[in-house]
Amino acid sequence: MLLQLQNITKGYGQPGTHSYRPVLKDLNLELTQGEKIAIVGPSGSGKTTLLNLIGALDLPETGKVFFEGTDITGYSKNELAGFRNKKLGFVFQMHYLMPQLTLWENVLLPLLPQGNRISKEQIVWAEHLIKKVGIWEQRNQKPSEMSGGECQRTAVVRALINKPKLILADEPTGALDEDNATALSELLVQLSSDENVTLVTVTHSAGLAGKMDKKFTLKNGKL
Amino acid sequence: MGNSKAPFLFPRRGKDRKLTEMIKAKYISLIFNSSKSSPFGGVRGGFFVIKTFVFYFKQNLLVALGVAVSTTVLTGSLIIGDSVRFSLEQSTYSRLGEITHLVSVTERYFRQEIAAEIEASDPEIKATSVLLLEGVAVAEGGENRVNRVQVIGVDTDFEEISNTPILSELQDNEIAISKNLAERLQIKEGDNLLVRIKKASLVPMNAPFVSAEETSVSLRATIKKVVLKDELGRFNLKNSQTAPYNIFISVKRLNRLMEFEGKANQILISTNVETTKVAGTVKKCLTPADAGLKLKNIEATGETEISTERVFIEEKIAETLKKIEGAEPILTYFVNEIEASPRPSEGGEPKTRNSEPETLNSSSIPYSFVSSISDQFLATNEIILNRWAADDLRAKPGDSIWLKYFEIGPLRQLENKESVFVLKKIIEMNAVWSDSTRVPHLPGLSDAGHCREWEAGVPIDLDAIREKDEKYWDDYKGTPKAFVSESAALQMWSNRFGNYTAVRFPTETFNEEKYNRIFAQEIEPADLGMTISPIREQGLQAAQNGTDFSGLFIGLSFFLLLAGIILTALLFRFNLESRSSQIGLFGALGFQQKHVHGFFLKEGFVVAIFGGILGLVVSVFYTSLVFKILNTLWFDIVRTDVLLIRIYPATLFFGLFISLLVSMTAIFVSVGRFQKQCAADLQKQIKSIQKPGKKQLLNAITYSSISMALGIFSYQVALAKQMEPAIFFVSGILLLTGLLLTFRKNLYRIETKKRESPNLRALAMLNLTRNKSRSLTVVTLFALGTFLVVSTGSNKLDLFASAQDKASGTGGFIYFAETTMPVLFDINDPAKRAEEGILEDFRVIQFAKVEGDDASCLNLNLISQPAILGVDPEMLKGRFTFATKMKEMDESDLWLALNQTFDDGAIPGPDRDSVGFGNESGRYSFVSERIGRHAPVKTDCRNNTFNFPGICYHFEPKLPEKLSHAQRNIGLSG
Repeated sequence: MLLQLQNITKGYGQPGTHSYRPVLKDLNLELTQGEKIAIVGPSGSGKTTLLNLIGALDLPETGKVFFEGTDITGYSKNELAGFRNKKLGFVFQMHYLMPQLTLWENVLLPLLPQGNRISKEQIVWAEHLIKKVGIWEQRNQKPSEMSGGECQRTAVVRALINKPKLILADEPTGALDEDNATALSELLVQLSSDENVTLVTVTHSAGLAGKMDKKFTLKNGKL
Repeated sequence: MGNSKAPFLFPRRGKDRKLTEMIKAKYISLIFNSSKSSPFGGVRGGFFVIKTFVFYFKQNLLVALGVAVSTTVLTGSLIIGDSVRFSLEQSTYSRLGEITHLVSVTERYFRQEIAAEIEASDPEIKATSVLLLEGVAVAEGGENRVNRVQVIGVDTDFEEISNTPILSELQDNEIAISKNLAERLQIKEGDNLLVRIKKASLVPMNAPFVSAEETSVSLRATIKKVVLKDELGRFNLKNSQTAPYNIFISVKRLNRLMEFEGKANQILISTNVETTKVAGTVKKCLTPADAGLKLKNIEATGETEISTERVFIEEKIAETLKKIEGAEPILTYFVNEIEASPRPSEGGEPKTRNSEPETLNSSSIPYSFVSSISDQFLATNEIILNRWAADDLRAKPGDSIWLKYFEIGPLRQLENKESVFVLKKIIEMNAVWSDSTRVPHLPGLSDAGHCREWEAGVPIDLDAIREKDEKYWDDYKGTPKAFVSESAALQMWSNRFGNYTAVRFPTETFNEEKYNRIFAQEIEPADLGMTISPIREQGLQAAQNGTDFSGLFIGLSFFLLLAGIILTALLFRFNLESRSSQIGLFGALGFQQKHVHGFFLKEGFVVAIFGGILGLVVSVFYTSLVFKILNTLWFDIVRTDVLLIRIYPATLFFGLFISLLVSMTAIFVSVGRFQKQCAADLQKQIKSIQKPGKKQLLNAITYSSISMALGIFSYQVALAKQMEPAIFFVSGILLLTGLLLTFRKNLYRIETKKRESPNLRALAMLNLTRNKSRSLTVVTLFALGTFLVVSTGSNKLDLFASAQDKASGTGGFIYFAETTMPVLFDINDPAKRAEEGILEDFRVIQFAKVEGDDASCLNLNLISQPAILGVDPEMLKGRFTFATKMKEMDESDLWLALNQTFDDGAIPGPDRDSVGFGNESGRYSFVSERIGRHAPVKTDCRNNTFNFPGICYHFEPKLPEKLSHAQRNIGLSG
């Protein structure tokens, strides 16, 4: 078991007050290594909230999140940061590439927190991924010089650079046109299959959702 | 930002792939690899930081400008402070040349040769005597005139000590003048100049029976040389950056003009030895002649007489002379009338005027000298007449004899006095006391050929002088006509100038060597009014501790400094807000908070360094501009045109360091506050909501600030006697804080307010809340600016607003005038006014002044020798306002308290640092900021003689620009 969410509750606002709005209610989820799932649901149903909890960007009010059998809700901030860096890869609706860095530099960015020299293997790996997604020629270009699809592909490579166990994709095709969206969907699926990475994607896209092993619908705070 | 411009970026299209890869690998390892020694955490983000800085250059430039403003203001102020200090130090060197010590006296003179004797006594000392006087320079037939010119009598020794080769061999009709005087009078070398020099006198000018007819001496001379700054043209013994107007003249010539011979009043010393050693050498070289004492053998009586060229022998010297064996002190006084009554007094007691004045068939002798003899010969109520006087009065022993005389007060105000005695006996004209030498030498009186030529410094009724009086003068000169006991004489005629006119000794027992020895043992330089001061050291200290221009400019630029800091924080915050998703991304990519913090702090540091260096460069230009303005447009404020820029590396470093520290603190706070938002919020660019605890704290601060401000305001209006600027600022800042917090609170209220239908007004209000910190900062900046402008305007004193108010800083006076030549009479006296041709109707309060450092705000140096004003406390009653008083003072009107004397003999004096004439606080204080350092000011008046009278007349609303001169002096009971 790679990931297990047990009885997760999460809301916004001050609990116990009128302003409190529950989003996730006693939610449970289990994922195995290499599994690819899609989470769908109407806007405001809590998809991104769920993804943030899985990605340790936020903590649940109640419940536990087990990753490879370890409860990460008890991690310190630094432990969570290390966890995100080594075990997870994020792909957002917007690519969030650093505009001041080139494609190549953006891809290598997640290697910085590890504190060690960037190894030849990591460079070869980066090169491999970049070539694989077909943006090698653009490696010295900045995001402003690339297309949206190229940027999003770069974001995918950046998510994979640390060889994560789990990729969390939040509407990864939401900002792309249909062709690019299709291409990126295929790329994500292909890469996660090739690298045996678990993929959790939140999407409104039926096409992308259809490429996943499973599809969960989030409704009333539950899957 | 194109990649191609950055040299460290990857080659775009490498022909040699292998080489490209090698370069790439090296590049990555160099730039991207982490280093645990990084001060901002484990991640080495130098590369990232530089790229970010370059990429966001426009945004960073704005932040850097904020830092640059702070750095410019701070460093510029520090440079100005350093430069003013440096300039004042240089001014000290340029006004003193090689002079290190000064031996100075006021209104008295010593031998010129003492300088040579000092040099001979200690080879390490170079000394020269100068005669320093004051005068008026007139050119172009009176069209151009400069008052308060220093007239400096110098000899070749001065040239040696001043290290200038130009002042020797000034002929009798030649002078050298300073460049500023030449410029002011528009004259040049070879031109003629008329100089009116204040007449110096060996006799104190206010001493009884000294003629005041001649107060100045005129000299027309050719200008041989215009003396420049490097040639000691700015010679000045006062601590001031303002160059005086100087006229150099041969000391011999100046002596002759003053009817002196070999006299000086300043010794300029150049030495490396300690002041105490200098003082010891000066004391060793002092002789009785330096005290003005003269030794004379009176052959007729077989006595040796010690008298003084000052007429009256000062108390300390007289007491010393009385220690010599056989001393017989003499006090001879000029009386207006000796009157006798033929009827004997009852019971041996003299009749009084009020007893039976109408029955007296009296006769009198006008204008006579009366001398004292030892108490062993006369009781205090007894008198002896010489034969001539007794015959003239037809007096016989037992008759009552009246002596009528003047007691001379300040401004030569005369008070008629009289004393009555019983005639004990009559002595013959050849008796031992019947001796004309008992009369001191009084210029204008002793040397007069006839009685009608007398210039006695008191009114003489020439009609009262009879032929027989002229005959007496021809036959016996001033020979005293009457003699009273020493005690009676002291009781009647002792005065502040001394108690005796001579001390006599039997010649056979008098030992001159012993006399000199006792003088050397007993008389200190200070007893002769001599001060020995390390003038260069004092000058440098005065320069170093003078007006703090750094603080002044920081104060003046405080708003800019604060605005720079706020702008730095605000702009950096905006920068962060525009990149909030990056902070969120860092979190998502697994960067620890400290890494992200480190990135932004490093970036902020680069920005701050950039801004700081920019600020340093600007500060140098800014300082140059300020100095150019100070030396030209603001000349009237700083009173000098030789302010030099001095840039110390340590100052630049300090200014940069402080600016960086402040800016980095602002950046640190901005980053820290921003990072408190969780990574997910930042990544989604969601704003945090205000925490309830913080809200309560801010509410508490808001209400307490406003309450305190209102409380202080009420106190000021209802209870305080006058507006205190400090309290004004405190209450203002509290109110400002409270209102700004209220504005902030309202921003949150507007944001959450329910609206039924949107409208433009509501939209505008909502726009305010979109970025609350930005709105608050903008409002804060405007509020600060407005507050400072309003508060500065509110606290600016209008010179004329309360000019007629006696309690105000003007004391109710409109004019303050100062004369170069002494005015020795009461200008309020209608007769004197008519005599002087003063026809206007006004009232004057006159002050006596002892010269000193200019203690006004125009002098940038620390004041070490303030000028002293002698005031009549009665005349100033109810004028000006005193802030505090010493505990010992018990008078309701503190001016009257100036008449009070403390147990230690000191008298109180208002602090001249707070004494203003219509400027600043305009208040008097007994707490000194410069002299006493919050200690009560007591000024020992015993050594102060006020022989520099001036006039101070007021009451016409004109000439405000002239009011600032000669103000701020210590007022003393005159």
